Amino acid sequence: MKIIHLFDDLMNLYGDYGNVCGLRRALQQKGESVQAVSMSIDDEFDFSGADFIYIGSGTELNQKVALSYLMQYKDSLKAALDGGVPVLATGNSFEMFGKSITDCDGKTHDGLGFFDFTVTEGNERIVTDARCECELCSDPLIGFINKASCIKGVATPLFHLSEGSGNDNTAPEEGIVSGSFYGTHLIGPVLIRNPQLCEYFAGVALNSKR
Amino acid sequence: MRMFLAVLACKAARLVLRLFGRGSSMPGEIALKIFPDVLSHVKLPPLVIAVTGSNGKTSTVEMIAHVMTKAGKKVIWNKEGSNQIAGVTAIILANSTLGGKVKGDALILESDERYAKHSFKYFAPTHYVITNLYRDQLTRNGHPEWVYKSVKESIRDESTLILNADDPLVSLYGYGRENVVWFGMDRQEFSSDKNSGVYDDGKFCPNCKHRMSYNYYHYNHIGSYECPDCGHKKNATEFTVTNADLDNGIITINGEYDIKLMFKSIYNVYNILACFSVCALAGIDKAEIARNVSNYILKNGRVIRYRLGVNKGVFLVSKHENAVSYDRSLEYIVNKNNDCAIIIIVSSISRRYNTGETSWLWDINFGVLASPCVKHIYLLGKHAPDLETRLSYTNVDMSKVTTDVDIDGALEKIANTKYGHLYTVTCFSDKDKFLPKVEILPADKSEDDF
Repeated sequence: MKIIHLFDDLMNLYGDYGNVCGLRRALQQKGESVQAVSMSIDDEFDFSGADFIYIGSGTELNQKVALSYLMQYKDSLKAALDGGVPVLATGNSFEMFGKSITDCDGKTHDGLGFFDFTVTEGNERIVTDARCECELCSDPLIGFINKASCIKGVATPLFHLSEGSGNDNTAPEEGIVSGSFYGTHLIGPVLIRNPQLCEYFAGVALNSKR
Repeated sequence: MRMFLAVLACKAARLVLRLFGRGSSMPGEIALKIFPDVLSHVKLPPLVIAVTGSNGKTSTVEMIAHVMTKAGKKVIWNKEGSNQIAGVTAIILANSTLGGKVKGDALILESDERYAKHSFKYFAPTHYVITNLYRDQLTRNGHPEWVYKSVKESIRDESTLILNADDPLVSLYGYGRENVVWFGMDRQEFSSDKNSGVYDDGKFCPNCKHRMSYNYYHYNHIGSYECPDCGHKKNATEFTVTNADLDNGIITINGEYDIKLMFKSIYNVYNILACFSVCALAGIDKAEIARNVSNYILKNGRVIRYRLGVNKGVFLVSKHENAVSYDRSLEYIVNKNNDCAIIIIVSSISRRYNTGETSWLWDINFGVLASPCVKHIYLLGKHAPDLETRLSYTNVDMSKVTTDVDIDGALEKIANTKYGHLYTVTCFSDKDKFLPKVEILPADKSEDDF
């Protein structure tokens, strides 16, 4: 199987690469042979043959660099998603998939536009432990949120937090799930701290294997 | 009148707290209530030296205070490490006349990298040392670029900046300024062509975000870099470690001044260099500085020799939520190449806040513990299982690893097993779970003298 880790050296905060390590191990334990391929700035992105695509957290500046680079591969990424390739984006990386990101200087950057939400960055950081019950696994999920953004207009949130700060920092709805796209601000790494969630995504990856 | 009251209230509160054996920033808080901008009205000494950065603040401040005191200056410094505005106010007013004149030749302040901007709104340091910026306490700091912005707001035009040229992010503060002095280290035998960490914050230029190239790394993203795109690069340094022999514990500054190291770590070298730079700029004779920092034993207890049952050990205070400090401690142990057992304790992640955030464990290069000299690894404390999971993703042989949330029980077992050398790696926030259980040995020997 092939896991593509996008911007592994740019979107590399909060130990998020651990999610790839966890997923790879979970798949190997199911008898799969797993290849994790890193693609970043200056590389030619090729999503063919991907069984799973992962992107992790980055600084606000690095997120803009990643976004601007990803723009040229927008169509092939969309095609992969539409073809059912699962994409998991944690931390602020999932913000790139919305309509726009307005930074703390007031400048608005076009997002990939796959979803209708908009992101506004602020000068205050939101840092909090997070917890939620979810349908993806029986144990409650735990994690941490470390962000500087407010996300509005997510139609289909991934989690409903009992503790922590949701997309718009007022309501408990957090992250996004749509088709084979999963986005969450939960870090930990989230698949390491929640082995059941890791199992879930290993299942998702297996189901998408053609 | 407000000055009089603020100083009086501060001194009185401090006295009362002292009677109960406590030091705190509370007297400063009281004074700020009485006179919110008291700090812009005090008469400061001719030298006001501030030190900020992710690592090395406390040690650097302590050494500067030591050297200046030896040079005959009356020094006021925040040895209690209360480094936010209330703490800074407390230390300044406690050492002032009732009219607000600070009684001393030099005020030396350790400044919290996020809160310095609040203190320096009221007064400007004459010398402002910025040691380094890297991933540290990200649950409160976000990430280094976030802290960068915060520190930038604390920088005043009138201060002379003393910057670590080997840190590409810190170096950005030097742009567009005349009054900047750079310190750094030349390439050494231990310098490397490759970054050995599990992440590399020097991969992309902090100025233009293009890929950056390094001539060499000393550790982490500290080294000699040059951006092929915008030209951001390591500046020429006025104060330079021209030679660093960590095995024998001796460094040379500017090819001339030899300094012996009581603690042979690269951190200590940078702290000494920062201290040397600022003291030299303050007019102290360079040979005298070298003499007085040579073999200096830090009082803030970052390295403690101990005995635990049949073993002798070295306790290395690292910082939780700071992978670079862990990496330096682990690398230090492995480079010693003594047959040893290592005790890593992670229980209270922070003294300041309660969190279960352990993602920082993934930024630590635990893989170095696969070294054959490491005979056993004890992972102890509340987060021992998180440590175990993390180590299971390295090439460390997990049959050498014992995981135990019960620290006391594990220490009893270790006390009765002969390992040769022990090394303990943990944070201030957890040291009291360990140090009371061991016999502390005198600090007058180098850490190698088991």
